[in-house]
Amino acid sequence: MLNIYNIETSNYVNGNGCRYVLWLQGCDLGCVGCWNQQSWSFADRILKSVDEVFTQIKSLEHKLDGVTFSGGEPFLQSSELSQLAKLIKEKTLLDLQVFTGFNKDELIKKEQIELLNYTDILVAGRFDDTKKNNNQIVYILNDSIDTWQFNNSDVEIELDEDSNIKITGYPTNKLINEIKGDSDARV
Amino acid sequence: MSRVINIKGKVIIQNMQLAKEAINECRFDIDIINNQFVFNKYDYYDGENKASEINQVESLYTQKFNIYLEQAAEEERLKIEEEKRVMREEKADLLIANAKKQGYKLKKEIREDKTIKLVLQKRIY
Repeated sequence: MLNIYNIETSNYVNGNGCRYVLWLQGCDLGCVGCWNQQSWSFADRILKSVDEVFTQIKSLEHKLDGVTFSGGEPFLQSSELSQLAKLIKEKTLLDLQVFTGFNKDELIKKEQIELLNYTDILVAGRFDDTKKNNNQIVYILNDSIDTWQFNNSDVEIELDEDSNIKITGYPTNKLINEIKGDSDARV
Repeated sequence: MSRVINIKGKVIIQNMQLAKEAINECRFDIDIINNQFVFNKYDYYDGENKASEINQVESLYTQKFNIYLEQAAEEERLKIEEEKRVMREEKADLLIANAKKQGYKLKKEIREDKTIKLVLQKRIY
């Protein structure tokens, strides 16, 4: 089973176009200024099978440009994510982008080649919000897809039916504080 | 022999207008007393068939009242939905205005499935 922190079925700030974003639960890298510290714990949060997630992605394919894995740390669940990535690449036309706190070399040393092989764009390196591009390097691993311009100022705010607010992306603390009266739901 | 016959229905009337409509449409000699359908008159036939007529009126009234309840519920649902939509729109406008003050531009705005999605990007000078 995949241990998931959050799923957004339509998100515009985690890769090119409209994306299905899967934030995995569990990370022990302890990056500086990590925004998703709630996703560090390895305790079960949302458990879904690979098939369950893929079925949802497939049903939404007509509305999507791609799928993004983020975290938490995706490569700590690489065995099951590789199965999901394989399904995405073989049975859809969607591209796959992965955010990881590991460096690319670390991933190669850790023999994480299978998931890397299915990845079109890799954003890798220890997150540090005090550094340019959050200290992360963007690797285009598939030449046939559009490049992605890392922009760590993009913010997506979603108001649901009852005006509850969910924020994704890279908001400044000032913007967060402005909205905080309404919600602390940030992923 | 004639006498006063009193036959009362079982339904408690909650909407007088619909009850009167039901009586008029059935064309039975039935009154409304204390929010119930009642036959309360001299009757040469000891109220023969009156219980059945009251049942028919009650059935028609119940049918009308259920439709009325459904319509009222639908109107209430639409009213609440509209109130939520207005609140959502106002909140989104406020968020956009505040974000613009902080140097963000609105890159994309998607309104669908009763949600509003705002994609903002910090202006780079």
